[in-house]
Amino acid sequence: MKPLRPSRIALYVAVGLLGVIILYPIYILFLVAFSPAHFTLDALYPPQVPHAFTLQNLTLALHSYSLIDPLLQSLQVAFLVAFIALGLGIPAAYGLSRLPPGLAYGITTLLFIANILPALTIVVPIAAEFISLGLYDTAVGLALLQELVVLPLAVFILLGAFQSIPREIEYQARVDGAGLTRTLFGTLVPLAKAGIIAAFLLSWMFSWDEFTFAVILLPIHPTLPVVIYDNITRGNLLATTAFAIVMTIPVILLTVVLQKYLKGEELAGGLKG
Amino acid sequence: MTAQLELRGITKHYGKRVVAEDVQLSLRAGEFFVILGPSGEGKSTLLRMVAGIETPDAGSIFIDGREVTHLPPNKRNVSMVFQNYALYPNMNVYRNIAFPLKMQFFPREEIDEKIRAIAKTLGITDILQSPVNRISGGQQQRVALARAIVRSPSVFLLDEPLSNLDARVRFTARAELKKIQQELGQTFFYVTHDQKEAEALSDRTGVLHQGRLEQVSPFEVLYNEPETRWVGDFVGDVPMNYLPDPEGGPGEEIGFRPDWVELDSAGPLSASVELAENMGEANYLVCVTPEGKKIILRSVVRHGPGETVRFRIARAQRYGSDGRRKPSPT
Repeated sequence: MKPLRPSRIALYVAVGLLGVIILYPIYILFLVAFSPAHFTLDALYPPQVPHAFTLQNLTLALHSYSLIDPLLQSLQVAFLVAFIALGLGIPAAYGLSRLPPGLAYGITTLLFIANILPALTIVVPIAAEFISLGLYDTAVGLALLQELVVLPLAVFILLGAFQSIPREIEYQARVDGAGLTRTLFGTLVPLAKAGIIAAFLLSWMFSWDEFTFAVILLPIHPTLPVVIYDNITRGNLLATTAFAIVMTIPVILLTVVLQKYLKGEELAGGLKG
Repeated sequence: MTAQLELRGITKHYGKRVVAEDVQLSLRAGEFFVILGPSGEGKSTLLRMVAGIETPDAGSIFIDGREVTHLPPNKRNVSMVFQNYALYPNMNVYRNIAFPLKMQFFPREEIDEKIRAIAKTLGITDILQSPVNRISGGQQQRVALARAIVRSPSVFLLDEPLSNLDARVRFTARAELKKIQQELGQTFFYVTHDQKEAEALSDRTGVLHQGRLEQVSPFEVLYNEPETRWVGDFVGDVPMNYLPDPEGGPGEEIGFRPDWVELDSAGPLSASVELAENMGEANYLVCVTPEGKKIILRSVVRHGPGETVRFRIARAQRYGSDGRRKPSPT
């Protein structure tokens, strides 16, 4: 084997350090969740390595709190947000990609105005309006509210994806006899697949741990982040770890399933300019 | 015979840039028509207006006698090959060629039959199942061509389809293209900046300069009787030579090609050689006349710089002060 160059070794050390920094909190989360409390939360000097394994924390939390309802509520909202973001974002980004790039990015920047305002200042009047519309305390209502933040981001990523497709492909499809809908969904959408999946993941994950909108709009049927917050404030730390794990697993699953469609350049395409 | 494609007064401006100015053109059925012109002077735009990708500011387009000026591309019954071939990257070769047939709702067996036939003609049978990014440039060009000819449109539009090929492949692809056009007997509307392609392929060539059709004629007429000095300079390996017309008024000149000149030690005219360039079978001599005019002559004999050559002009065209050809050749 060839000896590694010093620059290579420095790179590996840096990557390793970064990995540790990012993974350490997740490690602690799992440690607390699957160890008996007297090794972790009740210990004066809690050990950093597992000493014993137990499922009791989890089973206790799952029995004494209703976890299924918030989980379903969160899933429902997250998928709604992701699909609405694609349903509106794909036509919007396609339209913008046919404009001169300068103009398209100008309009996209305008879309971010709702993001510039503090979330609390928008959510209160909207929540008041949603009460009269019957959208208060509903998954659809929260999903629509979250689109305020998600949709501009999704459009931004999708715009980059559509702009990277040569115009001639679209012209060719038109000349070959495809109408506008068939051109968009038969040739352009498959080519923008990586960007679309990136937009889907980003929208889904934003909604999954969104808190400010959720706590105000869904007080009676809350989502997981709100339930976790309630438990932390009540001091139920062991139950909280159980919730946190339940909350992490879908994210990991979704990322693992979808990451093979993601390539670095697709995200970069969305983030240029 | 009826016109397969007719352009009437087509005008298109991008801001101040003129890409088409009152273009009149009529293609006969079965004709191989080439638009020749420098890059960036509106050739592709003209083609795209016929395809329906761009809309002219004024004028109308007729295909098979039917006005299509404002119809979308899928309602025009044309097919097109783009310079970069525009193959669908998410489909393999077979599905690329099948795409236009699927759009016309052909039954699956008929699509398969047509694709097998066209693949055999173009020699791409063994790559039908390959992804389009795994095949060579020459093969991609054939696939794009196959996709264009697999259905029978009224007009084929080809936008510099050979310019992305390397020189050797381009030569065979050019010959093949001509053969296919003759076998199909279909109307081809072809755009190029390469006059060798126009010469080899076209029945008639239209020279486009700054959005205007300078001349429409068979290629050898472009060479022998350029209607304007601009055409004379653009067509041919070297620009045309001009000397003051001894029988004409002020500003009137005669134009002649290097190969219309006979070098002759008893000739009436003389020039001194500034530069000699060997081009295979002949030498091009860049010369200066006693009046200080620069002209290019052709000689089978080598002449070095500084030598004086005598010559006679065997034939020439006369040009008025407006740069247009005058009818009577001297």
